[in-house]
Amino acid sequence: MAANKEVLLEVHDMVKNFGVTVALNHVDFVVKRGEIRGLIGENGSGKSTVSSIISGMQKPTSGTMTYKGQPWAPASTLEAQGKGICMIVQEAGTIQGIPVADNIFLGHEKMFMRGPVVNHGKMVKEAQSLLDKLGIDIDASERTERLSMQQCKLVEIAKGMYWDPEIFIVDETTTALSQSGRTLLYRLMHELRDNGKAVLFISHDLEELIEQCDAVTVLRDGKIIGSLDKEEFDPDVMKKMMVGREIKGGYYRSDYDGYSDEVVLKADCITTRHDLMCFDLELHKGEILGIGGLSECGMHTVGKALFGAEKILDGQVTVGPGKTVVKDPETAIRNSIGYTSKDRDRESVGLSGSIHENIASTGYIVNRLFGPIISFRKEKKYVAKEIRDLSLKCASPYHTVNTLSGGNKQKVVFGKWIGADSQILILDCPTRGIDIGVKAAMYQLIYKFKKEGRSILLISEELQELIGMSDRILIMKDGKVVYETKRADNPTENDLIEHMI
Amino acid sequence: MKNMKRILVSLLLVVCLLVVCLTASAEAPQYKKMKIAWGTNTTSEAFVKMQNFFKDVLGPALNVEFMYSEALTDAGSMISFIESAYINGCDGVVMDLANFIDQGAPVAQDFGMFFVGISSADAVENLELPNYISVVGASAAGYGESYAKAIQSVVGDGEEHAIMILSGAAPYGATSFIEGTVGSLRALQDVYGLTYENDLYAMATSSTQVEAANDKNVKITVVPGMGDLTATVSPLLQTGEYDVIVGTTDIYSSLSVAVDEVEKATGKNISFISRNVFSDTVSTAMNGVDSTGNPVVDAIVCNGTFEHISSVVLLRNCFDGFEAQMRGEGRPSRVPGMNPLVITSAEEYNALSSDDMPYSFAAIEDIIALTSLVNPDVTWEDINTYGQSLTTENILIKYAK
Amino acid sequence: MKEKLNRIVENRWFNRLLTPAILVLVALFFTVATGGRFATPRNLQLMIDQALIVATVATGAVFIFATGNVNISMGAATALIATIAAKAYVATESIPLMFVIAIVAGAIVLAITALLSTALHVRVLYITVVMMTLLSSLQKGILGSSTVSLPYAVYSGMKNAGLPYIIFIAFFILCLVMFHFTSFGRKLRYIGINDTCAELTGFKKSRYLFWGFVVAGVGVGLGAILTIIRAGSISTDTASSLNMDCMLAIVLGGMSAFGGSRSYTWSAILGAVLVTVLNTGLQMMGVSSTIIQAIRGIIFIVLLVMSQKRPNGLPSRDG
Repeated sequence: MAANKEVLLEVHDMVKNFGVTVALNHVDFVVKRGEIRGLIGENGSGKSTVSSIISGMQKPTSGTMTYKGQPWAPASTLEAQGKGICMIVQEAGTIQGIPVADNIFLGHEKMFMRGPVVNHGKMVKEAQSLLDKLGIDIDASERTERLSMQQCKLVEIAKGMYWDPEIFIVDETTTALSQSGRTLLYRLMHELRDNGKAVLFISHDLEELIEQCDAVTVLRDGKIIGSLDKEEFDPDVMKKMMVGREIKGGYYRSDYDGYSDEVVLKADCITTRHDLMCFDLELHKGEILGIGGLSECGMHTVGKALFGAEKILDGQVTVGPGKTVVKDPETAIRNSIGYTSKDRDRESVGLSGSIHENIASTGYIVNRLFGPIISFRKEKKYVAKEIRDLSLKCASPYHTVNTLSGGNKQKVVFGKWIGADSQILILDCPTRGIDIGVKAAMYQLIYKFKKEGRSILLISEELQELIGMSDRILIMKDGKVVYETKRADNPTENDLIEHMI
Repeated sequence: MKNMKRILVSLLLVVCLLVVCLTASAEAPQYKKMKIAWGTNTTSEAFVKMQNFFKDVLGPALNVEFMYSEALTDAGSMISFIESAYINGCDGVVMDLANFIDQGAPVAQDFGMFFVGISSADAVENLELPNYISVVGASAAGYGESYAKAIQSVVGDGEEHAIMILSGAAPYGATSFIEGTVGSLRALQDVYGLTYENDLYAMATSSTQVEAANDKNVKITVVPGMGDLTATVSPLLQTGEYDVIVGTTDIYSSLSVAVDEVEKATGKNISFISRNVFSDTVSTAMNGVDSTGNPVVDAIVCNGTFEHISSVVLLRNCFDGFEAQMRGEGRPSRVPGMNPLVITSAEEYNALSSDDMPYSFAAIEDIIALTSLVNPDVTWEDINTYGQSLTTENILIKYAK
Repeated sequence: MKEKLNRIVENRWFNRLLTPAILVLVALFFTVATGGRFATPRNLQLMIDQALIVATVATGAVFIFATGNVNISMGAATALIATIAAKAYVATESIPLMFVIAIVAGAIVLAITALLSTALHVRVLYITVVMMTLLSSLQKGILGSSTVSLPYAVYSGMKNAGLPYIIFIAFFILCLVMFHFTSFGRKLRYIGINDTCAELTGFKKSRYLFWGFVVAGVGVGLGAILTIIRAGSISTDTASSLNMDCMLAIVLGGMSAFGGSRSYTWSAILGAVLVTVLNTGLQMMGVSSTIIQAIRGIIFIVLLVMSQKRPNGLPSRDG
């Protein structure tokens, strides 16, 4: 059915290199009118690279594009926007400190110029009518930093939609959106499709892709592996194409093993400046304790507080049999606690540092030669072991972390704490933005930790993950635990959602 | 008495000229090539003028090549410059960084280079170093003499005056300002035959305004300060009491407007003495007439540049093997040379600032005559005497058309 | 071919060896251009002498720069400490006491800077802007309008005994070991890479910043001693360009201006020597001092661009 539609954009023999890393390796593909085309692939497969080239964010190393029959080589996103190609990016694309309307018309202030001054009132009015038309409930004169992450995304969507795009590129946007936001985005995507435009949809969520797309193109290691039409969609086939090997149906753990009664980490009526008021929690040896809830429910603060990274005003966190009080990350680490933040790039890994520096950062004590002197050989081994054990894909341990894909970055973070042999791991959204291949490996790893007798606090916004991995699940709402369930009770997603909202 | 002095100096000049005529008529000798490193504390317009003179006139005449520093600020950068002078094969060093010349001399000594410092004060330390040849530059006392002359030219008319002396940076210990102020006070002492109640130096270095109380009840006020003179001095001028204002710094650019206003308001002439260099603005001021029909500026004290010549000649002679005559008795010689010029009329100013005048008013034949290869008996004292002879009167006589 | 070049540029040894290689090349060039006059042992020694003060203060400053912070009050601190130490010598005529006072006072002054920054939660840069003015007015206050000088025999004696080399080498080795062979330097660098992450890896920023400043303070103290030994007298203009020279030396020496991964103690001496080599070499080729300033500026910019280039990262988004 897609075969007889008009071709809107054609990518031909595209190559993109970042230094020695090949991100796109001779890619050809077409986008047709009247279709929602999914782009899927693991981290580092080249999905975002190809779409950012199409939308003018960067230039290819070689290769050509044809758009509406004309050669296409946009100099900037503004040019692409003017010609009808708009992209919603994965990270925040809005600027804080200015009103919503200014963000929507960023770079196009000229439209509202009256002489040398911008007619701001008119801009706000225009923006408001756009938001209203799209059914987005945001005040256009509001300052952007007051908006939630979801609202920011919606502003970006509106910004793209204003230009009445021919090709609308949605890059990993839905992870930041709640159900209502997603519904709105899907509706817009379908409207565009029905009006003979095209949508390029990038997501890690296979279910979502299967539901929304008319066709998908699969990328792996910078190459096109193949395309599937709607009638050919099959999750297992798609996973296999993405990863290049068989992925078995479920990648969560399937056992019902218990855990010890020994409490290793305890929060005793802790109160923090935000979110938590007399909060209690006990983590046992060998337990995977899941915490779920809406993003603002306070669960991320719990993770930080247990690690000593959040100021505790009242109450205390104690660790181990000696009930050592955790006051700061230093004490936490000394007592074998590891922590991965939800905001990985900013808090858990040093992007401009090398893989070596990051992983070795937890091993300064064990890698000593004598006195305070560090053994370079031991350190090298320490890092090499983690790279090997985690099958971290990198050309050299001395490459900087920002040359890695999201999944591999997360492996660096894991490597830090496994290297430090942390017995208690506080994992805040460890699989956020990570594709299924690496995800599966992460879950196996978490399960392995449990079997080794380590304790894991798994904070996650993905209910499937919590249900699949946890021995015990706490659901939080407004800084309090509102529901607790055990693995043995076989909780369902609906049970949990009910308590979350 | 005054005339006697004048005649003496004129005679001396004639002797000098005679020597020059006798020797310079012969072929200039074959100077061996030498290289001088010139350390400066500023790269102002005056410095560029000097470089041009060296490049076009003095360098070729004496076969000297020059190497210049960037603007030096402290002893560290000075030492680095002397070191690079050695690396670059210099034979002598001139250091125009008054506070540190005593520290520079041993460095040059280490490398076997001759050293001449430029300062208004004499050397204090390291006097025994054989390569520490001389300290050149107008002395503080010279400033005093020049100011005394300038004052006399204005106040010496036998009438009563009320005088304001602006001591500038004297309270901060700047010697030329102190000597300028003290010199002015002394000149007044001579003119009026008065006796001060307080010590001259104490008044000159006072950081607050002082009345120079005296037995003849001549009104003399010393006002210190550099910054914005208009704000501090204008109110005093507006009292209409003062009719002579003496600046130890360039007060023309900062105070001429205020003085003009007061003159217009009171209809009374205020005589103006300032420290300046030759420039277009000063030229206009010297040649102009104020609202009372008198000159805008009555006298200026103008720094000489003879040290630029004397230092090179001293080093030239040392390099040619005559260091014994260039250095003093067991210590560096002190060659103040030329006193700051005192210019008291538009005619004098116009003649001295003429483009025909040689650099520092020293004819190149005179300079050659001061080199030991031409005149093996020349000592540092002769060089000094020649410099001393460069006064306004002598210059005007010498270059009269 | 291009890929091969990329591989070389991205190699970690490339950045480390770039500046030494440039230094050697520049020196070779001048040696050839001056017919060997440039590289006489005496000349080479003088060039090192000239670089020594900057190298000492800058070596200590690496411990601050590595954390991604900038201290612009090091020059003023050196001038102040030199004044205090020189006055102390004049008062007591004891060289050991002068050393102790310089080192202790240096460490204290810089430690105060660090404490102010962490206690008031103000960025180091802003604190040091204030400190620069404060320290230099303090120096002027102590010094008055005069200069303070040591007797020639005393400071030239220390110079002739080779004390400046001993001081630098001892301090350099100490810093080299602390920075590259113990966890201290690694932690400072990790703070420079990402301070939030470092905090969450258990490296308390305030504490390591404090000790980094203390090491830099010792460097300032030794730099002050070297200033006294070299010049023999201290004035209000002493060390006036030292701070800029230090920052330039560090960056020219191949260290990243943002600290972090690419922080090396040897950057300081390499960069400082490079500056003096350039100055001397150009002078010997007969270039006038004003033009040297311009040429130096151009070379600095070229080196900066070359040494500060980071390897291209993948877009931070997945894909």
